[in-house]
Amino acid sequence: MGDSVDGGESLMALRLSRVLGSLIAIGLALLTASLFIGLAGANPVRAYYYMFVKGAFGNSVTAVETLVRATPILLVSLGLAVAFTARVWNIGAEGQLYMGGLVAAWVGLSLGGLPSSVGLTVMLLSSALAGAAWALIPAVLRAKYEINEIFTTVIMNYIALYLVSYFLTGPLRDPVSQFPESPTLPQSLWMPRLVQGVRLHLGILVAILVITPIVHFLREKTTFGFRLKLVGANPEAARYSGTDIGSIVVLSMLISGLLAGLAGGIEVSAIQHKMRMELSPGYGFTGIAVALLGNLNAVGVLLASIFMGAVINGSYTMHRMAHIPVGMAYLIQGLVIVFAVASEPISERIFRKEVVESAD
Amino acid sequence: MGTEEVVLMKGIVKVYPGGVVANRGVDFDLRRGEIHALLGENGAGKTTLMKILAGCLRPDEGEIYVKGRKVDIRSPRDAMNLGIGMVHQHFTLIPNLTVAENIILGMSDLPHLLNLEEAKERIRELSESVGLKVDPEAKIDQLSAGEKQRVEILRLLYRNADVLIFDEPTSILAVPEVEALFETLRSMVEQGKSVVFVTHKMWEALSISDRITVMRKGRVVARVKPEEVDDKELVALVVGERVAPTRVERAKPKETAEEILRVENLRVEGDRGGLAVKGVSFTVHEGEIFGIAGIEGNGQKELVEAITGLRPVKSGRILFIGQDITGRSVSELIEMGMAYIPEERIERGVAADLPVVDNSALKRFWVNPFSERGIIKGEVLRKFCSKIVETFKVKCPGIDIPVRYLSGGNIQRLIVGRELSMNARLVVAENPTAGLDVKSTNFVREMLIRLRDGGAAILLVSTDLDEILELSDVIGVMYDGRMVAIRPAGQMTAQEIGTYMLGGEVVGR
Repeated sequence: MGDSVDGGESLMALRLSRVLGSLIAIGLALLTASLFIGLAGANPVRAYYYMFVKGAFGNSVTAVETLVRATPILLVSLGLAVAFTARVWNIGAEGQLYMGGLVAAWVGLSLGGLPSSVGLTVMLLSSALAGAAWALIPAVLRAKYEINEIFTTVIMNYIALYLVSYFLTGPLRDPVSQFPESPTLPQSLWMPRLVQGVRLHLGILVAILVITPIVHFLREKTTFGFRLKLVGANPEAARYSGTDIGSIVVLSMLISGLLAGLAGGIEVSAIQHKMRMELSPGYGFTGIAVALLGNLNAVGVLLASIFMGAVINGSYTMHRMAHIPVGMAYLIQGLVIVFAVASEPISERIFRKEVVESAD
Repeated sequence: MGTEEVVLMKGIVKVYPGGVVANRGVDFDLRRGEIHALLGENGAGKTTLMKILAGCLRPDEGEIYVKGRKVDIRSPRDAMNLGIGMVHQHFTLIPNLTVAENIILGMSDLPHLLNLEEAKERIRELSESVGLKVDPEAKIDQLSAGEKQRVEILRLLYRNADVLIFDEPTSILAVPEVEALFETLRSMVEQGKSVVFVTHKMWEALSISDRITVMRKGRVVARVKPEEVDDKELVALVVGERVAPTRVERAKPKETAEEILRVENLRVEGDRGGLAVKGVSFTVHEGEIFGIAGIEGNGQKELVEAITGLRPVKSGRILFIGQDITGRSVSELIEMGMAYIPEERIERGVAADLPVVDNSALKRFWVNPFSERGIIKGEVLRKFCSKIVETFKVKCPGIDIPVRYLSGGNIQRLIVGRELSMNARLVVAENPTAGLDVKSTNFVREMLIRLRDGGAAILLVSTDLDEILELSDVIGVMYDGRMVAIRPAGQMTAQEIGTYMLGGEVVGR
């Protein structure tokens, strides 16, 4: 028996087994989806070639588009990873994202004449706060009255969507547009692009280079992150060691709402330049799959977001070239959730064999 | 009372997977129309024996005969088919279904279209015949504990059980409900049914049963009739001949020892409402082990939770190092130097999915030097953990692996190591050696003594009388939410403690 208590090896093995589990999940999801691609009358190998090689990473333009897709997913899933770590199941990121977008547009349209940097900051901050506020209601209901947050967050999604619909057909509607959408934001509030000709905007960099490391730090290095894991792993042990479970539930929910709202604000500012009913093709739900696939770890979530961005972005090329409906992207997404959840016992077994049993 | 044997158990041996031997060759018999009490301390093996009879556990050795026929009981359903049913300590009812629905639930021969009316009618008849008043249409979650128990009994009668096993049935009942239950038991045996009454309350065994079987440490030590024994003899049988404990004497009992913990007239509510701690007062000094003896479920758990800040106090005061800590948060108490080794190790003492290193720092990660301004210092944590693992000989493949991969004994070593490494002024230890092997048990006890000698106050709550006798400097006995006796160790014999534990003083109440 190895009495080595430094544990470096076991830590590596634990991480590796989890990465392996996620890779297996992706592999099985793609394999299963290829059945349906075959049923749709296409060659799966060719379809995936168009999806990933041509569509998602074919050239710098498509690669940037993959990142454009990945960014809102990344923000949402980073926040969900925080909540899920505490086993707070926020299924309401989609609604929080929409509230963020709505408030961003409203604030942006009300801000007149502010310098671009100030205006953008105010607009994005208010979008984040709007998302957090939307998450606060289910958070308090859960923390104070033990009302299951899964139900309340799902319900809050609908309320958000109808609220947005009301504003876009009413007070916030662009009078000259025939669609239910807000007027276009002044150009000073458009997220700056870094390279001419592609949609590589500042928000992408902020999400990857600033927010991802912050969430990583928060989860891995702070007492708050410790408490998140503790509440998630065993609330009774958390209580016993002096952690106030209610405040952790509320805070984790607020952070996930904050990032989902910010994702909505960035989409409005950088991509749409206005608020629309079609702001998100379900990023709030995709984020659930990505958070699980990334093992709730910020680095893992980053990689999983890029993968999912590639699937969504590549699905358009696949549609054009292999005539597979774009919906295939969402089928893959759903399959990834199923297999990501199922892969946990598999990676568990790998780890047990490699480390625990070999140690005896 | 007839003499026909309805159940005969011969040479029953049961070893639990952890190696704990619960039954060491037990013989037991039950006659038609009798109430047979099974009396003994916690861990004597009573419940195990009855769970074997009810098909919840399989014996490793031994034979069971029911109505003269050798049987092999593989499941509760097998037992039920033989007419044997058990009312467990913890109810097995579904809260949002009605009484009638719960009673017919799980019956094997139910038609696809339920005839609930017919069932309700039969339930009413049954409940009248044995004096169990229950409304078949009431929902379970509207019922009191006593009413739920009646539903459990009716469920067995509905299935035509004629051997009914009751596991500590009075522990959840108020006094008038106990009387009602006893009436029911008597009317059931009059109708030719047979009852096994598992209890650790002596006066119950004496007042309700036709025969008493006394178990101790997995063996039957006596089988008596209540009219043949007095309560003194019965206590001696239950507690056994205890050798004068090989108590480790204190290095130097200080005259001026500081008072660390003072509990004043404390009242605490239990989980089911009603008082679980009914006005308890005592003090613990530095360099002293205060042992609380008592049978499980007499308020010790609630007392410990109130002291450690996990359960609200109804009235009374708790003082710790001279400060009133009533109502303070758990984290404040930890920071003041209160350690707590909980009985529920996996459920409360660790987060099993988190790595060993995180669990070792559960009580300290937020204070200097383990973290500063909310940022955890990983290296300090790892060093601290490695030291605990080494000092307390926790066997683990690495400190980054989840705790759930550790054996029970090693998890307890980790918890004990963690709690004893925080320079605590008070250590609350709740059954700290339950379920441990001999080596780990001795290790934990040595650690507690060493800490005591270092000047800490220790509140030891244990249902193991030997442990109390071996370690305590002062012994208190809890019974029915009260501290019925407090005396320095050596001034109270095991028999006396046993009498108090079993409610001896309350016999003539």
